[in-house]
Amino acid sequence: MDNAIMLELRKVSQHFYIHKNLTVKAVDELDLTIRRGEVLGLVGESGCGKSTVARMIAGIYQPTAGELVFGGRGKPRVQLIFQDSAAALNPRMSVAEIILEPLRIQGQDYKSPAIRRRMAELMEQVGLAERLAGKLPGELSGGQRQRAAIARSLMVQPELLVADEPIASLDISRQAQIISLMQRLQKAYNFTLLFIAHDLSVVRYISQRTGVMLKGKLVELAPTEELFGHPEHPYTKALLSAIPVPDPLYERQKQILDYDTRQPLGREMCEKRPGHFVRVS
Amino acid sequence: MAEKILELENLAVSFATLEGEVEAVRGVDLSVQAGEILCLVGESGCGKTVTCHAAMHLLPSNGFIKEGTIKLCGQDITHYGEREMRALRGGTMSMIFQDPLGTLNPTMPIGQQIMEVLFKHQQMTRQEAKQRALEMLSMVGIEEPEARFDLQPHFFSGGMRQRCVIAAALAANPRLLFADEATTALDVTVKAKILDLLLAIRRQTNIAIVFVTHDLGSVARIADRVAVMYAGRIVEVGTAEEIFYEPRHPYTWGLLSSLPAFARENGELKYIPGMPPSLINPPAGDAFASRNPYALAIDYQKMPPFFKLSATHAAATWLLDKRAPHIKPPISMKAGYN
Repeated sequence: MDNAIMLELRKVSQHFYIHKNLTVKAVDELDLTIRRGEVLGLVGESGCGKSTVARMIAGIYQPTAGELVFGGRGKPRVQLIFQDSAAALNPRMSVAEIILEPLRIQGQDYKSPAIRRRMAELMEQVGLAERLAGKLPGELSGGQRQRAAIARSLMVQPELLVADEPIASLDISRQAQIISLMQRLQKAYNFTLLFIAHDLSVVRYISQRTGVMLKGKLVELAPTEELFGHPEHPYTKALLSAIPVPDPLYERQKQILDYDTRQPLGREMCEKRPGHFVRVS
Repeated sequence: MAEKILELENLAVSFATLEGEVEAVRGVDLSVQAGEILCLVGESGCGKTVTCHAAMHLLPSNGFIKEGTIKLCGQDITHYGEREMRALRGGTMSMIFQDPLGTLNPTMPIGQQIMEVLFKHQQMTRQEAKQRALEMLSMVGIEEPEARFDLQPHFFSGGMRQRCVIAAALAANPRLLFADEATTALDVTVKAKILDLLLAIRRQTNIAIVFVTHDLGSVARIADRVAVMYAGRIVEVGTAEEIFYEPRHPYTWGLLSSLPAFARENGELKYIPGMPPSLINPPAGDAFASRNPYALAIDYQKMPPFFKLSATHAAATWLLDKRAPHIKPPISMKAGYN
């Protein structure tokens, strides 16, 4: 990690206009910096706007206000991995066609032997047997489909991989496999990873910095162990106290903190300790 | 000795499919006492939901109880017909599911849905039923129940809906509640509140709860006892402390070491390789053998019996046989490692 800034979100908003009396502020004046080569975790509960952030970074949505500023090397190549791999893959395409699709769309020569070799190599790296290349997504398990989605995203050598709840719909034993796969690939290819999840223990395991979102805003951002060890914002504290941990004696005496989401969040982010930002009034 | 509410003896459930007979549950022995929370854990397809559905006689038309007995409060209900089961469901035994919207009638006000249960199971007047329904709503933590009594489910958030489902499930004072992944779809803070609600209800009503989940964190919070299932059988059963701190079955080791919380302490995240076997003609020996790095030759030939480790703890693995090589458990969760 060379600490160079890859992407900066400056007061970025995404307001969805529903009808004349109702505008949903999915993301509201969010500031966030993503550094080259880091694994940044983004957590929050449903409706907090984390997926909207992913989509704005991937260019699926244009922010309704604010701007995305790119670092020195310009706009990075971004790839997105979704929660529901069944919906993300074309059901009529074979695994090989799926993995090669980004190249085909980009107008590259996807039939060349070099590309074929690279595809075989990637399939092996993500743990897909070669015989699965001709299969359709419907013939694969959820874990295998997610592996195909990961292989597809790596085919175009992304600089930034945005994974939006990549393991939420997988079975327990598959979740650990996909997390350790993503971690291995991140180290091997050194891409930047934005890992979005509601499962805080997974984010704690994989990411170096973690941001906590609430109602379209960031309430806290810090190096992961710092955030989990010394949370500052009352919402972060409540969220952390609610994670169930696999330790019955600890769990039985644990107090879960309450947080009333109707109270004001605080006006601006302030740096409490080096690299540890908290929203304060 | 507390009263036994549910007793399953050698329960086997199969499904008739075009590919053959799927042996989803293969000889499950289980009992739950009044006031006890038992968690059933395991990968999808291990038979945890089918076990509950069989006990409630809610199997789909191609599923059948092949063997074994189901006793509810000491009474054998294995061969009860639909009419007799209807009197029990929602009355003596109740069930809540993952998706509250799928359980609730979208067009009927919440209060009325709870009153329906009461009209069916407890000969109450309208007045009494409404009173009881309001009590139930406030018990599950819905504020201002009078104001919300006449609202349809879509006015409520996911957590509130699950509370309404719990209120309806418990309205007729059941002795036994099955909760099938009831907190899986909820956000962490909401999940924690629903778990605590179930704990509070258990204290107040002494109900027995069978909680099905694959979230081991939730298990640690609410379980008195845990049964780990694999390929249609229980492979290890014990108190929550025994399962988390002294697991003895290699499958339990695998499940625990695939948790990120555990990996943080020990460096690498581990996982169980391979897939569970097909339950059409399941393997003769230990079904976990092909994924088990500690498998012995006998595991491939002969199903391991249960080895008793304490009055409450038992595991079905040949590693516990006195002739087996001694293996130190690869994981040793300690209390308070967090």
